[in-house]
Amino acid sequence: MSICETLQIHLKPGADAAQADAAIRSQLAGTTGLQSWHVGLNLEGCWGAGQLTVDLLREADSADRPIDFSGVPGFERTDGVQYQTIEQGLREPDIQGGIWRTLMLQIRDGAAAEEVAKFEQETLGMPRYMRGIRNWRLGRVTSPGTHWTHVWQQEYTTINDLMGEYLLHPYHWGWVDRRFDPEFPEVWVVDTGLCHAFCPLESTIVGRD
Amino acid sequence: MSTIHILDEIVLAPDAIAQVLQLLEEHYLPGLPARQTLSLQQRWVSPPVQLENQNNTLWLLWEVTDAYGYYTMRGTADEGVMRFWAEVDQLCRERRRHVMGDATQPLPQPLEDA
Repeated sequence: MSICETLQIHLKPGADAAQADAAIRSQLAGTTGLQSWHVGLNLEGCWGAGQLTVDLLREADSADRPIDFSGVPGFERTDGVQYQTIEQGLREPDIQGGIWRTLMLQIRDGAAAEEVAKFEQETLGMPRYMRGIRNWRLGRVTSPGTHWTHVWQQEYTTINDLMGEYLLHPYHWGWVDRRFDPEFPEVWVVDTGLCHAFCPLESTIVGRD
Repeated sequence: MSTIHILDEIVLAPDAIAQVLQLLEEHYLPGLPARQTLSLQQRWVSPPVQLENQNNTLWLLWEVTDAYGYYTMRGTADEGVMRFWAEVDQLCRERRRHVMGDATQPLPQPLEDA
């Protein structure tokens, strides 16, 4: 059994992100218990995110031991979760050189379970309307010590598919978004604090996990 | 990209209408300039008469410039906005919000290969 983990690496102000990127890659290459890993420098336009996105597929017997990134130059902290996939999909398993988007979110206290279940299904419905979502995965957080409850990840061919089709589609702003909107009575289930990160994708993460 | 309309449907007793409109003026509307893309287009009530033992519905019609403007509206909701709705929820019997697009445009369909 393997465990999926995603981390946001936060660096100190003024830190050299490219140097940190190289150091993290070097460290992960020498780390045992990893079946696969991916590191990406976050692009302009993220919010609630760090400077790098790290994704790990860990062997279960060592997955409860956090990887120590404190030796990475400029390292400040990590914000990460392990999660269990609710559902994933692959349209383009051989995608190369795209965009990897990670949304970490928290279901707000008191949200009705049936509304949370609807939120999950509505989110998973997005690829049915948006061709630009090439591969995707929705996960439920399983690790303790974090306020995040869900991870919604997508792979795109280009940044325009994320900033264009994904954001502009009526299924997004006219349907799913009400789950994130405190002005919507009854159906609002997601806390307003989000982690929205996107970075270059080397090759599929969803497909190899 | 075309404009997007948002319709708030607030069911309430006739004597609560003026209170809600006052809250709107005090807590919600002052923040509109900072929200950039959101404007209030109409305030309607139906039926347009006070009946015995029957609620009215207050309709607030909002407009945002486009989809990007929608997210700007979402990201600029402040404490005044939340205070407004919290107080309205104390006054009204029920409330719904509707996000609406142009009915003359074809509805996006699920992809055939999805």
